[in-house]
Amino acid sequence: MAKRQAAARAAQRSSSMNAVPDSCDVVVIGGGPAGSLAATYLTGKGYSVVLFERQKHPRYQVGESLLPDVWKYCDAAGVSDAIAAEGFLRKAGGSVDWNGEMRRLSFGDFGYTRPALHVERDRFDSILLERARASGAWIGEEIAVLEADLSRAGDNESEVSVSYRPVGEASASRIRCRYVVDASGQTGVIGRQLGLRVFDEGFRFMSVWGYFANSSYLAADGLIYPAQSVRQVPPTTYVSALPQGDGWAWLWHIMLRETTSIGLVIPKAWASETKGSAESWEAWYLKQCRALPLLQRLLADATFCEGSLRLVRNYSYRSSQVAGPGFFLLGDAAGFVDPIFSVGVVFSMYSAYAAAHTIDRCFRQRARRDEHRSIFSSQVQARLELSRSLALPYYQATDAGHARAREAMGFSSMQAQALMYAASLLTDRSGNFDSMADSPHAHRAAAERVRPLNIPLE
Amino acid sequence: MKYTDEQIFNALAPFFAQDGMDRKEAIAVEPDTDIIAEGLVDSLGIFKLIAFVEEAFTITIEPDEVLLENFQTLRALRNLIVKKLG
Repeated sequence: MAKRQAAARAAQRSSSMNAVPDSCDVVVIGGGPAGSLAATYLTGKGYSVVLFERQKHPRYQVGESLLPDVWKYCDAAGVSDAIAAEGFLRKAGGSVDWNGEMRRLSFGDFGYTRPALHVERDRFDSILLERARASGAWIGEEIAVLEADLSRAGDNESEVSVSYRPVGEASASRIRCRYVVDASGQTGVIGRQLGLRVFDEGFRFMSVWGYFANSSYLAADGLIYPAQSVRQVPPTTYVSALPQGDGWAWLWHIMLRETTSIGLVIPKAWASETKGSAESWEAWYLKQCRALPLLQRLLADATFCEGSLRLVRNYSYRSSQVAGPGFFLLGDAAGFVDPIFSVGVVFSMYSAYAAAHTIDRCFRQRARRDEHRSIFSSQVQARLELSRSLALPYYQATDAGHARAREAMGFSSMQAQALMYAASLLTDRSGNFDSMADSPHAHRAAAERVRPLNIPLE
Repeated sequence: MKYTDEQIFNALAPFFAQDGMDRKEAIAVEPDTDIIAEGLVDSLGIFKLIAFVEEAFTITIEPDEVLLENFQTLRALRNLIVKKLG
């Protein structure tokens, strides 16, 4: 351990001198929530960590709705106070308009004592990265990782060499480590290198989103409040199915401190059917926003922030392997689904915790590395499969996948099961839940806590 | 080493004394309390519990033993531990 601490100090010294260290215990690829938390947890256990981030923080990121579960991971990283001090908006629950059924739920009714959040991700992710830096991890921003040589990772002394290149420089360099943690998000450096990514061809979708100023919003009491009330009366995340979307196309409305994030998640075919070839994406987007009576009402006094429109074409995907000799995949680098239930950041943080725990066990019990990694893999894959089963409509799991998802559901508390069921009920995806849980308790708890939304739409 | 059931339950108790779960009131952990459903062990806690049990009883838990049926209650855990010490 003393040796490790000396190495950690050496890594820290070279950080202040700005030279990338030649070696460390663990290289983390990516400075989003998964990477920053993994780095923080690992330095906390006495390991030397070098984290490479391709961009420079603060940097833009979508995915602003966070579930109350994030707090326990932030507690474990010692970063909860910094997040609380930032004053992000507290989110009280969800309001859902699904094919004419308007319902709401409040996290408080499910026994959660800490708030969910609506966060500006550039700020949120910066706070986590600064925590990793303060914990002693060497942070290299604007450095891209090219690949990892894992050919000797299975040796007794797990040996990995990672190739990286600072942005704007022509030549690559290498750093030696024992493990590499891939938290590079959808880029998926290691997953792509090893060909581990499995795309769901049937779930090709697009996300089109932008920002409005001065939008009204729905609170947990089912009433509409003006933008100015947002710090006094916590907003809910408002989600609506889109007409003729076949239960697939939906819209989010997320209040932030200064703006409101509004996005459409749509099957690729739906976009091409509804958008004229001469029509701009912005015109099409604004038209969709005006087509929903409730949203139209929330946007009555709102103005679109010019130039804020963004668009990504997406697949949902998983990984055939989330760990192997010398490497671990976290967060979006491991898998990605329709973001309807806001589980992305929680899954990232969970996998960061699981990887840090597992790497520590592998260092301490070298002879049992394979077993520790295997527990990591089955737990993380099960959790991912559960998210997929809940979020992907008409999802047909393989038998093995279904068994995994059921196991992960079984390992969830009644509180968590009730919330999952309520969320799936609200969005008409409860058939998926029912196939995985034999849980009359969750049904009852959810049914008691889902309330109607009565908003007169004249 | 042979343990009585009481010794096993007593050795497991400190694991549940820790704070940090997002719940309003404490729950007494009886041998048949459903520690998963009650949220006393969550997806993150299961990793810690495996390490805790391995160290407390000097046993190794294999990947295919990480099943709900072995971790749902203290009694289930006791059965696993006794089998491993066999």
